[in-house]
Amino acid sequence: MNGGGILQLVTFKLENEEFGVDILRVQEINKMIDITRIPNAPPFVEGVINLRGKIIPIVDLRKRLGFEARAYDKSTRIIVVELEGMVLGFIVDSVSEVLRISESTVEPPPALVSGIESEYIEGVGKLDNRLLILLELKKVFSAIDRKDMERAASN
Amino acid sequence: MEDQVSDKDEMKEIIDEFIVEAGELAEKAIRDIVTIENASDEETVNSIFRAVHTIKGTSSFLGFTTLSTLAHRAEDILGMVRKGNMLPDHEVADVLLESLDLIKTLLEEIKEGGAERSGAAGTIEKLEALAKPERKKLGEILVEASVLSGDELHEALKKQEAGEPEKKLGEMLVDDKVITEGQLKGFLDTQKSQKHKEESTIRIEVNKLDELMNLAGELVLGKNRLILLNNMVKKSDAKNGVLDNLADITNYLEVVTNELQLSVMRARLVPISKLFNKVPRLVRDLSAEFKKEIELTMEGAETELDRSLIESLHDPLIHIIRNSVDHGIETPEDREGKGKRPKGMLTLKAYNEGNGVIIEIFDDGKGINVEAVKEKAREKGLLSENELASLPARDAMRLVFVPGLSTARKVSNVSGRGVGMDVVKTNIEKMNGQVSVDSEQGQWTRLSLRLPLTLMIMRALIVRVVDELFAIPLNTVTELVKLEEGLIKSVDKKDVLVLRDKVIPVVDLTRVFAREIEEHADKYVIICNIGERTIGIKARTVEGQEEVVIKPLGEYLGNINGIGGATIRGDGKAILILDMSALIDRASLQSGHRKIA
Repeated sequence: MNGGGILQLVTFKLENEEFGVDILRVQEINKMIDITRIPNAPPFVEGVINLRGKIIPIVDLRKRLGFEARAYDKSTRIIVVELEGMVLGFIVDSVSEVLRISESTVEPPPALVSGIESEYIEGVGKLDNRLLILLELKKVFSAIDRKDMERAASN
Repeated sequence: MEDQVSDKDEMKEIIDEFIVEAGELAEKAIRDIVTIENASDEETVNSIFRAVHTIKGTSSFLGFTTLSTLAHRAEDILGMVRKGNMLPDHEVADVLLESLDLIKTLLEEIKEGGAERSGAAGTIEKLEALAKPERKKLGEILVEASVLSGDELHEALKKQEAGEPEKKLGEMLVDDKVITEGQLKGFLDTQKSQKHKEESTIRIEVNKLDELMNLAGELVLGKNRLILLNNMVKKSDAKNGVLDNLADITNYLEVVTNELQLSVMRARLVPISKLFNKVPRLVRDLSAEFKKEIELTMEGAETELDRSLIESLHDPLIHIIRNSVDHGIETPEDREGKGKRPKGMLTLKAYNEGNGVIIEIFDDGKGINVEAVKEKAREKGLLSENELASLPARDAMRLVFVPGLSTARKVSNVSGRGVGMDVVKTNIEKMNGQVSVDSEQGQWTRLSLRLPLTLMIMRALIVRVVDELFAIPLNTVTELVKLEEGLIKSVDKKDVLVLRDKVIPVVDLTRVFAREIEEHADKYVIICNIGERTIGIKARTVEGQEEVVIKPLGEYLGNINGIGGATIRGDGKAILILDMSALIDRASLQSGHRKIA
């Protein structure tokens, strides 16, 4: 990361951690709606929803990152992102704000951050008294691979 | 400085690429012209047209004027053939072949020396003459006008052919001062008295059609919502006036939507001849390769299929035919030894049935050796001894679709490695189609492919399993059975239903989909079948029949076992479509096919 640029992020909360994703990837943010469950899918895949005529898969980010599951409430949101043509949504506890931070405030991730796989983390941003975990979306949502499917099928 | 050099390199690269591409296009076009001379078909003509069109465009862009003009004239002729205004008979084919040969020559010249050398005037004139057959050739007009005598014309034409570079007849005559410029102009004007033929067809980009298809699909969904609304209003005692209006509008919309959907679907239909036309050549090549003698018959080439299905059907069909020629039909000596005619029979038949298309591939070869297949299955540990012993012949035949099961002793190019038939089955089922096989050992084999007319919309039965709704493709549903106490029996720890002497394995989706089971909550069993295999699916309730638009699950999810896409109902909720063949496969493997004593 070369210190000069500005990053625009959508920030959200999971458990007590704050995360940020590149705003250019974010298509929209929705309130929770009815999710159609999919059998034989990995446990972190909640199901699919209808987004203006298109079927969008929804991932429970808590489960995906290894946090405990939690009941949804009024503040739960679905963030819909587009990754190289692939559209999907993920569930978060709450959405905070859109932030602009300087790239210079972002440091490479330490080996272990809150128990999350380090390959999912692009970096950690330091702001005043906040720590923002920047997610590497492409790794978090790499198309479901064989292992996940087999694990799901054998359960 | 640097820029100039890299520009030149870039230019050379572009030209090199062009030469290669254009060369290939020209080669293929030549082969295609030979084909259409014997039996013209739309797709081949289109292909030649596109090839010449591409050559025209690129050569023009690169500044190769002779090439582009030649290609342009040829394209004109091909355009007329395409529209049906000209038959590609021998005369036309000859001129086109001459043009393509010249194109190849010009490409060679560009490759060797960087520029065109030959002239194309003579060939261009022939093309132009073809294009306007009612137009008299300039020479004829001049003779008629007594400007030239017949002999003089003859001399002039000879001179034209010998000329280097070739000049147009008119230009040449002006140069030789036989006629003046003014006269030439006059005669050329006389030539021009063509009427344009009416355009009865139109070119349309496929993605525009796809968009229309999408819109038609959305309209179906909108119609569904309106029907739902109509029903709701009916239930809540609305004033008669409003109700009547709503009912009218709903009905009207339904009719319009159905028509639109059918129209768009029909626009995408392409006759299967596109595929069938490749078969004679394929069979000829394969017969030579495997030293068999084959008599090929094809029926129903005019049967139409959605164009995307035609593309997906190509590989499976080729593979099936290879199989027939390689493994099915015996060598002439073998056949004579068995008392059969030395020439093997291979028949391709396509026809419409219900809302689908059936394609049959029949060969009178050695059929499926059921014992050998069973033996292979035993070897691979697919089924137990008991299961194999009680397996009926038809079911055993179906084993040929299992991966890795090939009883061919020699491994040839593609067939024989056991990777073929299962891929065929998977591909066909991906298209929501079905494959089945029938055979008499030593006598014949028949493969039947059943394909839907369209991939996008289908009729479905909406059922509730546990707490979720699912859509079952209606074309697989044969009946609905109301569940009563004692109807489902347990055999070998598997649930079965006895229906009019037939034993049908019953599938509890809660188990398949790994949910908690609630006993005795299901009220119905839905009997579904594909080919001759039948299963029953337990359901809480049956909501009704609906036309659904099939939406893919998307890249992220990929293929989920048992699910063949999703659809959106009138109320906006997404529900999953069951993949019947996957569920049936799963059930079949587990329970085999048994009779209760």
